Amino acid sequence: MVRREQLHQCGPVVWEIPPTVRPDMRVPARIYASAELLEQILRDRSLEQLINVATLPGIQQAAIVMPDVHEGYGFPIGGIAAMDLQEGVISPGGIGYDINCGVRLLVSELSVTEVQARLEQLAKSLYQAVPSGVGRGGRFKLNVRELDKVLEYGVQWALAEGYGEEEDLNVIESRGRIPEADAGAVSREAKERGRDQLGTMGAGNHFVEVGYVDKLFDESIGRVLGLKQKQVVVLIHTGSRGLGHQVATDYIRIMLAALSRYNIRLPDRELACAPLLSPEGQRYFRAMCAAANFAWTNRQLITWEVRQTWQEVFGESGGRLRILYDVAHNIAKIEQHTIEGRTQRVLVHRKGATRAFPPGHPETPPMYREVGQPVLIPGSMGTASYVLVGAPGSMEQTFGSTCHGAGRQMSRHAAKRAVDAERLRSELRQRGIVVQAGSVRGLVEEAPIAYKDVDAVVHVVHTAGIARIVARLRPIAVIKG
Amino acid sequence: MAFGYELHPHTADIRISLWAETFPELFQAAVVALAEILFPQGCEGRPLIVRRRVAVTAPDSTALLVDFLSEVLLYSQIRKALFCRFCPQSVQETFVEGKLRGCRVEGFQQDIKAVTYHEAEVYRLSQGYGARLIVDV
Repeated sequence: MVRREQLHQCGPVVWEIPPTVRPDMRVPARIYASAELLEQILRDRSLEQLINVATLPGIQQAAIVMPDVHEGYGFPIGGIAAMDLQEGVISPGGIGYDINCGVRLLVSELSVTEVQARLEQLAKSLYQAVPSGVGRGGRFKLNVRELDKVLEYGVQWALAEGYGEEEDLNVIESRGRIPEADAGAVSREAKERGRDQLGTMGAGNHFVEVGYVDKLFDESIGRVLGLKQKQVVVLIHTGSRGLGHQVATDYIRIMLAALSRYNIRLPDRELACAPLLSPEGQRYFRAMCAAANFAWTNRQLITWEVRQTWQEVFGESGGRLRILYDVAHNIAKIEQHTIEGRTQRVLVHRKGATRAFPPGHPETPPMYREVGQPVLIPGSMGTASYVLVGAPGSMEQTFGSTCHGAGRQMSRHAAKRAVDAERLRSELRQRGIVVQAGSVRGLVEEAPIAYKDVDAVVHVVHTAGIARIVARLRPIAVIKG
Repeated sequence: MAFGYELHPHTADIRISLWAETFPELFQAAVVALAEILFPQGCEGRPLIVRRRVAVTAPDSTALLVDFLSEVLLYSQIRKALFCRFCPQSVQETFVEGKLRGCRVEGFQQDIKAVTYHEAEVYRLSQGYGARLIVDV
């Protein structure tokens, strides 16, 4: 275990493990956390895993974790690692099994008081409209040809089929499509596993949540984002489902077999990687991009399901649901960054970390460019979620990245032992939160007690100057598998 | 039947401990443990009508177990089936072949994304074999 005395404090919320701590480290390991969150982080093996990441070939500047970090498998969850394009590696474990797991925020024209009377009906209808649970397919069953189009064209395919509005594209990271995607790099098994899963949220920590703007911390930025006090919003959290899981499984196996060819030695097999420019690295990159396109399309089809339901429940008086933004938090992207004064393109792995480009960045949608790219941070079930925007410090410190959520601190098993389902339901009801959940087990595993304090997490990234808090959202209905 | 398993909590995942008198039985234990996580009620009361041949080659015994169980997970997801029995036909250190039997299920209770190599290990016991695995849920 890493000891507290091995860390140097480099700023109010920044800590560093120097590369002298272990001889195979190529760069320091950097941690963003308050003193309290750091104590929690030191209780599991996240920082050993971070040190392992710091040993990977081609890693630049530092292996970084956010305050919501927790122990994963191979890479810690909540981490960022940027790799040199020529000398560096790409690692499926640095992205995660749920490729392009991410969050989308829809904003309505209604206030919380206008929605309250039909909230139960809305929650029930959303539960019926958005398939959830494990191993259950949805309404969109595609043949191989259509699925290949989804993998290569992403949300553009969905719009061509009538599942959205043209302007949706402007507010989705990468406009819902990474052009390097190649359906041919995705195995038949992965396609089979994901074939009927478009438009489904799955289980675990994935959800559709109806909430409202509880507090606007920055009214001028809120105005640019189109956020108002008491405005009802819908948050969607899901990813590439079984297709992405299988892409990761397939390529970890391929890369493990290729390690000796590239003379790569790893402290943990789950860090399996290949040089980005190798045939294995290139093929995985193209498959990962395809799975990312699948995930954006999945959130687009869920958006369509939510919009249909909204109209059924509220009719014309419900107005429209506009996408505020859609961000990935399990992905690797080629981006331009300045490292030691030199501008260069690097491959940024974000595993449980969100892109947070600052004001003026060319990849931030034009309508948000003056305030920065929106960042969506879902909290644990029943607590708060946050809207932030990227801040200049993100480019200087964290390869344009910030945290992704509250961060798990308790195992699912421990949560089941600690939480009584009926009591949890009753507590949520008392706080005005309607729950539609497919299983009691799923409900208790995601109880707030299992997660860190999301308020403390976003406070750290705000203090560090890598993202700026704009609004807090409170849930009024949680729909999950 | 000379094998068994235990499931242990892990921050975001589930850790599986397996033990068996023989190497082939380790694979039987793994199949039963995976089924327990996916659908704790098991196949009880349901006809075992789903069959699937599985054959996996890997560089060593640990990778073999991980890759084998990944295949079982894949077939479970694709065929919407819970595989609760494995009849090994040929098992060597780097090769396993046999038949899976299971029942149809409407859905699973736990979403297993993958069987990971993280801290995975197959080892010899004084009498038999043991293994540790972590599944990502």
